[in-house]
Amino acid sequence: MHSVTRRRLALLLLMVWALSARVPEAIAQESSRSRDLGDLSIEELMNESVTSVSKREQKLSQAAAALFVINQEDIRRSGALNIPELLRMVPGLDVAQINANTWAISARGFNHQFSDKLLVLIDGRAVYTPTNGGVNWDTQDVPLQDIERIEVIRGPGATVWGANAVNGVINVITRQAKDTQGVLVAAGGGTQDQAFGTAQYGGKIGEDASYRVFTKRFEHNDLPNLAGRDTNSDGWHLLHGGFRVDGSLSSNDSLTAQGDIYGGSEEAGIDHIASLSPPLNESVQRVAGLSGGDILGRWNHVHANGSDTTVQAYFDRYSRSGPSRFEVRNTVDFDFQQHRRLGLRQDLVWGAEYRRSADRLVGTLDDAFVPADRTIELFSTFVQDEITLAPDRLFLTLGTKLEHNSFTGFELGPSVRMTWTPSARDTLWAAVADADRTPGRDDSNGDFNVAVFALPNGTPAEIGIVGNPRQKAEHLLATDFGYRVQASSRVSVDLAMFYNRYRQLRTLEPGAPILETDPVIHYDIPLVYSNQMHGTTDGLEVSAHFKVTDRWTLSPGYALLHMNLHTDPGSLDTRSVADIEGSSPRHQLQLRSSMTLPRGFAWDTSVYFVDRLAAEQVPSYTRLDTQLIWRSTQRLEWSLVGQNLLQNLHVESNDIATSVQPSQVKRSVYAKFTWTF
Amino acid sequence: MGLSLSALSRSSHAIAVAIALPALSLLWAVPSNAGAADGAAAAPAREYEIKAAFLYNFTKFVDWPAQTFANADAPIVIGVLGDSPCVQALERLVKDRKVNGRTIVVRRIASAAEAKLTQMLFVSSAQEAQFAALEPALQSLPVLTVGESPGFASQGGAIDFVPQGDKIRFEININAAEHAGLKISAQLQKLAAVVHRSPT
Repeated sequence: MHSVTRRRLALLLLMVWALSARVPEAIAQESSRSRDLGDLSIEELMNESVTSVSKREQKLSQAAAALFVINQEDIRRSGALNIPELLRMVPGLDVAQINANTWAISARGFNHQFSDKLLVLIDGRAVYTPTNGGVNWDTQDVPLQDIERIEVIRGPGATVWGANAVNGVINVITRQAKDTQGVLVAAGGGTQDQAFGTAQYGGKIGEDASYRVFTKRFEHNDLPNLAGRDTNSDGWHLLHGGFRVDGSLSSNDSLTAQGDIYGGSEEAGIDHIASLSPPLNESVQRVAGLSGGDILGRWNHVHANGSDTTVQAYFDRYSRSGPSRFEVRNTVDFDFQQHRRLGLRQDLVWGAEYRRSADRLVGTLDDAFVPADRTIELFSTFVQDEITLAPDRLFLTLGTKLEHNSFTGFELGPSVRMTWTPSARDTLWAAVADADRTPGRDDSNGDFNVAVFALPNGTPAEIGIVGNPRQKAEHLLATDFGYRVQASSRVSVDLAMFYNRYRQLRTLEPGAPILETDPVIHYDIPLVYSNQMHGTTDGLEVSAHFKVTDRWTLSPGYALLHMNLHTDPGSLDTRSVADIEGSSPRHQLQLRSSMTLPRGFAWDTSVYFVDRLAAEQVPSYTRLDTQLIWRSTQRLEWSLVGQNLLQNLHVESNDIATSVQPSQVKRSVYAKFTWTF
Repeated sequence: MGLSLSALSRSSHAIAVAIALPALSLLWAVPSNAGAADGAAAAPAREYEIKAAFLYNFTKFVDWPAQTFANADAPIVIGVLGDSPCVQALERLVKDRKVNGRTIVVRRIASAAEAKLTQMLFVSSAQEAQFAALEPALQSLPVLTVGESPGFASQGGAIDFVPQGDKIRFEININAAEHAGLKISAQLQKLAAVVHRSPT
C-alpha cells in the first residue's frame, strides 16, 4: 500500500511540474541581462535576481529545508581540530564520541557508529561508504582552514543528493585555490591532541589559474576505558597531503582538480570470541592501518542562454586493515548536472550520475563477508524545478530522483517544497519528501560472530549476525515545517519541526538454532537481517543568534526528539526498538558565546547538554569547550583551547552495535599557532 | 583484488530507464518556454557581481570632502576587506570606467593603515570580526563603509546590503555617513529600503 502511495505522489509531482512548465509566460523578458552589469542603474540592479551558478547553492534564508551553515569564521572560532568536533555546533545533530578515533553522528535519531541515514559529501565526493552505511570519520581529514563552509541539512535530501540522504546531508565545501594564496603554517599540541601541524602553499599558474598544496599530520592520544583506566589503546595518527587547482579556460568555463593522499594507523579494543568451550568472550587490542586517496575533476560551463552544465568525475580509494576486518574499496563516479531557467518563473536542475564501487572485505577475527569481493553499481538521475508562484514571495520546488542500485533495484525519491517570504525578514517553509536507505554490504553479505554463552544445559551457543541478500531499502516519508525570522538587526531565530514516518526499518530476526559439531558440539543462533520495523519520529530544532553587543554574540540551540517505533506483526526482534529509541538523546541544548575583544583577542565558549541514552546506560552530560584567540600581528594568530572542562571523564556513547569498545572522553587542553604570509 | 572494471554493460537496461524518465519529461516541458528562456538572458548574474555593480554605482551618489583627493586626477579607491569574490568582479567592472573624471582602483585591504587610504570599504559578512577591529581607526575619516550582514548599517556602517527574496536591496545609515563627512545624495536615499537616521 505504501509503495502505491509513493508512486502516486511521484506521478502527481511530475504532472504538476509539467503543467506549470507549459503555462505561457505573460511578461516579456527584461533585456537588462544582456548588458554589462556596470551599465545598469541602481534601480535596474535592484531588480536583478541573485541566481547562483549551481542550483545547489541556495541562500540560507530561503532554503525550504532545515539548513545550518558553518562558515570559515565559525570554524576558526570553534577550537575544533576535526570535522566531527566541528559538527557539535549544529543544533539537532547528535555527535557522540565513541573512542579517541571514532564518532557516532546522526540527525533526528538512529545514531550509532555507522548511522546509516546521514549522507556526507566532501566537494561533491560521497564519503558515505556502502560497506556499512556510514562514514569513517577518522580519515575525513580536511584541513579546516581550507573549508569554505559546511552545509548541514537535517531531514531528507534524497531528491537531489540520492539514496541514504534520509535523516540528513552534510556537504563539506572547500575554498577555491585563489582564496588560499600564500604560505600557511599551523602547529600545536596538547594533552589529547598531542601534536599536529599543517603546512600549505597557495600560488598562481599564469593569469587564470590558482593552486594550493598542503601537508598535514597529527598524533592523537589514547582515552581511558569505561572503568576509567588507561588500559585502552585507541590512539590515532595520520599523515595527509593534498592539492587543489582552480582555473578558467574562458569567462564561461571553469575547471577544478583536487586530490588527497593519506596514511596512518589507529588502535581499538574489540570484542572477540576466544573460545567456544568453555564459552569465553574477551577483549583484544587491534591496530588498523589506514590509507587512501582520491582525485576529482570538475568542469563547469555557463552557456550563452544562461544555463550551466557541470561535469564531474572522481576516483576514491581507501584501505583499512582493521580493527575487525580488512577492507579495500575503489570507487569511480561520473556526475552530470545541468541548471537552466525556463522562462521567468522556473529554475530547473537535473542530473545523472553513475557510480561503481568495488571492494574486498575479509574478516580478521569474527567477521566474514560472502562474497568477499563485490562490485556494486549505482545509476541515478534527478530533476528538480523551482517555480516562482509569486515573485519574491512564494516558491514551489518539485523534484524526484530515480535510481537503480545493486542491492534493491529501482528507488524513487520525490519531494515537494514550498517557501513563503511574507517580508524580507520572515521565511516560512514546508516540505514533504520521500527518501530511502539502501542496504550495504553488512546488511546483505555480512556474517559476524557476536558472542558466545552457555545454555542452561551447559552446551555453548554462539550468536551470529547474518546478512540477508534480499534485504530491502528502509523508507521514510518526511513532513517538515520551518520558520526563520530576522526579528531585529540583533536577533534572528530559526525553527524547524518534523514528523517522519518510517517503514521497512532494519531488524534482526532470530533463526532456528543449528547444532554444530566443529570444533566442539555447540549451537549457532543466527540473527538474520530483515525489514520488519516501522514507526514515527517527531521533534523540533530551534536555534537563534543574539547580537548582545557589537562584539558579543550568543547562539542558543535546542533539539527535541521523540521516537515511536514498532516491530511488524510476525517479527521476533525484541531488541531493536529499544536499542534504536534509546540510542539518541531526547533533549539536546547548547549555548555558544562568541566575544571579540580589543587588541586582537577573541574568546569563545560553548556549552552542550546531551540527554541520557537509555539503551546504552549513558547518563546525561554537559560539556564545556572554550577557546582564547590572540591575533598578535596581522600574520600570526595564537589560540589556547580547553575541551570537556567540566568533568575529567564522561561517556558519550556505549553502543552495543559498535565495532569498537567505547572510551571515555577526557578533559583536555591544547595550544596552537597559525602563521600566514 | 576483484576490482576490475568489466561488468559495465550488465545494467545498461537500468541506465536507459533511469535516464529516460527525466529526459522525456524535460522534452515535454521545454518547447513552450524555449523562446522566453533563450532570447535575452546572459550568464546568470551572481550575487557578488551585482554587489560589485552596486558598489561602483554608489560612487556616483556620494560626495567626498574636497581634501579627500590629492588632485583632480586622483582615483577613487574601493577597498575590499579580506578575500571576497567581490574583488575580481569589481576589477572587471571598473576597468575602462570613470566617475566624475576619476578612474577607480580596487584594493584588497588587510589592515587599518590600508583601510584609511580608501574612499569606500566593502566588508563581506565573513570579515565582520576583522572590521570590528579596525573600525576605530576609521572614525571620522571620509570612508564609506558598505557591509552585507544584518545590522551592519544600524551599527555604524554607512550602507548595508540586505537580501529581499532573490534580489538585493540596501539600507543607509545617514548618521554614519555624515559622521564620516560624506554626503549621500537624496536620490540614493530614496532608493534605499531603510534609511536609519537617529534624532540628534
